[in-house]
Amino acid sequence: MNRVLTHIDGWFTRPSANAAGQVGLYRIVFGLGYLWHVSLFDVGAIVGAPNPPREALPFLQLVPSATSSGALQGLEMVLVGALVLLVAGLWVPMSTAVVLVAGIAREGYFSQFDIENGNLMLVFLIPLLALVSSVWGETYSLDAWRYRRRDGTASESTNDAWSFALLARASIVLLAVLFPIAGILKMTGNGTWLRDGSLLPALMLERSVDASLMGWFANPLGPWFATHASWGIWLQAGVIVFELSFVLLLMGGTVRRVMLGFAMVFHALSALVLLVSFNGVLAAYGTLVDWESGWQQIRVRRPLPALRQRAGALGPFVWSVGAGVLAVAIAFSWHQGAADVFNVWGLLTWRTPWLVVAPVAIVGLLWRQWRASSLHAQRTKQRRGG
Amino acid sequence: MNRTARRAGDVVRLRAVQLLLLLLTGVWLWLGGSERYWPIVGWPMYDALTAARPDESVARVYVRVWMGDGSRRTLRQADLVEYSRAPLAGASVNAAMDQHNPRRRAAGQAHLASLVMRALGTAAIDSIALSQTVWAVRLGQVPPVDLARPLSSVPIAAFAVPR
Repeated sequence: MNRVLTHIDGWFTRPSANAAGQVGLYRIVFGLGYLWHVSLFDVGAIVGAPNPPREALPFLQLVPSATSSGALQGLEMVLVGALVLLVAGLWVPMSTAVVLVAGIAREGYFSQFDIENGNLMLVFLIPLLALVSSVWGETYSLDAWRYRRRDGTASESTNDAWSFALLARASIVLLAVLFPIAGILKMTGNGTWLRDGSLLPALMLERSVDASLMGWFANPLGPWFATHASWGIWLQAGVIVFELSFVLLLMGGTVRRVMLGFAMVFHALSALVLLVSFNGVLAAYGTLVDWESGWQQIRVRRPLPALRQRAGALGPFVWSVGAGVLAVAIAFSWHQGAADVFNVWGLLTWRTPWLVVAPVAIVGLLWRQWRASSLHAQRTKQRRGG
Repeated sequence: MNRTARRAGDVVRLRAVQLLLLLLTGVWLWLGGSERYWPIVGWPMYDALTAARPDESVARVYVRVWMGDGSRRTLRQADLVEYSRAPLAGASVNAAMDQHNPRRRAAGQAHLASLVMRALGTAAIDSIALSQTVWAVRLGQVPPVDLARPLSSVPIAAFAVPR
């Protein structure tokens, strides 16, 4: 037992390159992504909706009933203000707590109409773990700048201490648990995936018709599946095996990277072909991206030195006041047009991220395969030569 | 904060994260596919999915809007709210067409009008009409529906929007 616990601790406490910078930059990406998510739907729209189709969840007894559009928009404004502070890195623990509470409440009101499982990653799990691990405000934040000025305790972005990788490792555990649960539920109880052999082909055809009706591109494989529905059971079994195999994320190195690549392709195809909106899960994958390396590439070029120097000379206090004013301004103008800025006036829809993720993931997987093949060929050649 | 204190704090955070993950996993496994205790839900994603091969025709309700300036706009349910929130628009449209329950119909029409105003960004709307449009489905073709050639379009309901 002790050996198992030691092994678990060892997994959590391995150093991770650039971990401090990675989690700090992730906080900014998370905040901006969440603002985009909020901008897509005004929760005030649910007020007055007739007979929600679902029984009210016990959770809704914990929050005031949604009787006024203004009150719900007020809730959304609080969430937006906290997200702006989070992006700026001001009062990060408090901003995170407000994002967690206001975000769950906002999503909860909609739960009477439909439950979006993927959104739970964005609105509940990641903010909760960020709050508990409490490290994502220690770099690239106004808080860190203040601490550095005050007593020099702020962390360097290149710090590879395991504590900065806690959120990323917790995300891996979440993915490695939740996807296998999804796979198990498809096979057991009310699960229909192994009982109805033509489930996925029928869904693909249904969604292809839906896509055509919305003016989106239809599934090019539709006609083939219309005549080869018997392949469905293999596809369905493949999806289940794929979901179960998310436990492989717990392994490191190439296995995790390849698994993540396939996961991106899987989600992107689900979104673009099956119209399954599962964007919230990107919040978990985002913790695993090495944002710091990308930022270092930009930073070494030191763009706009004069502007940077002037901005730095203002000091953290002035910037903090500015961030606070900006948070209030964006929150109060959110329903008067600021929300449109975050989805570029409707250009960034729920499908847009997948149009980017799909080609990047496919090219990444092919490049990895090509590199592995050429390395293998090189080694074989050297062995023969030697 | 000195290094020893920092390290002690890190260990506390590590244990808190581990405990939280353990608790969540336990509760998810115990709940199975139940969504009752949302937000603690263990991803029963499409587990009890049912899907049927599409019929030879498909129907959708369109929302036709007469604006205050005399112009006309046509909206799909998908234009009323973001795609993943579509059940909200579906609930409104269904209620607005209810022939049996006048109270539900009135609530549906009022809510549908508010969704249309949000979608169009204006309250200057005179009336709204719902019509059902039917298309032929040809599964052997891509796309399977020719949007420009509906088989029929039948008015279902119309109502004035109070200013």
